Amino acid sequence: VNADRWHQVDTILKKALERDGCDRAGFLDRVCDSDPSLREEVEALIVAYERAGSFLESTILKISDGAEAEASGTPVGRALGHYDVKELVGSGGMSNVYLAEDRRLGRRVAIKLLPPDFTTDAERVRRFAQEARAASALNHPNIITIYEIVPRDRVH
Amino acid sequence: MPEAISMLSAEGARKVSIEDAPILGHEPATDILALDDAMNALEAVDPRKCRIVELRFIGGLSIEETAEVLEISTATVEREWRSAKAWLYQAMTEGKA
Repeated sequence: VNADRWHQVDTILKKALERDGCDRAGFLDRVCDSDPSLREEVEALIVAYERAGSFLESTILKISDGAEAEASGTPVGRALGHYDVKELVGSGGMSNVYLAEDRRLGRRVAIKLLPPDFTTDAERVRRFAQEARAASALNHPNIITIYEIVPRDRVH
Repeated sequence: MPEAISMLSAEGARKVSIEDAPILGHEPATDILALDDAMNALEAVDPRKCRIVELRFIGGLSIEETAEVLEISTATVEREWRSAKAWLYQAMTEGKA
């Protein structure tokens, strides 16, 4: 995708998404008058938006205070590497977040357990973690920092 | 102060599956690796949208909190968010129809 073209498509897309029905069609008639391929691109994105539904609408990270969910096989009370898992504090679409204590550093950390499928490709998980870390560099209290990735074979 | 977090691939993760966890909703899990690819592509043409998706989807911030962090209006976040969703959804579903 070319950035200039995307900027052009994006500008129209955002305005189109604020309109509906005839108003939207009329708007597209006007702004895409001389460029049918521009209209096609915008309309495909409108369709994508309408199909997207709840896509991305729930964060992968939901911290809910004191949620007690004692699923069987919970890691609560167990040691994962040098972390003692204390309690489940939240759940997201793909993972659960636990409060744990880091025995080496003597501090409390949040541990996010990803399903095994997501952790088989170490490089991609690493990049994902990097992005999350970049987000956390903004130092907002609600943003959680990825602290460490422990390879499967180092976890007992 | 931000909490620290660790991603662990552990036996524990295998046992606490999405399906078993009682407080989870029923939404289908997003394919995080496909999303990662799509977000990298989006970042190349529109870094701000990528940032907004990181803050909202990964960081769990609301529209208002995202606006505050990025020092832009909530209306801008909402418009950018809708467009980013359309873009990413299209990128992740292309060729699968």
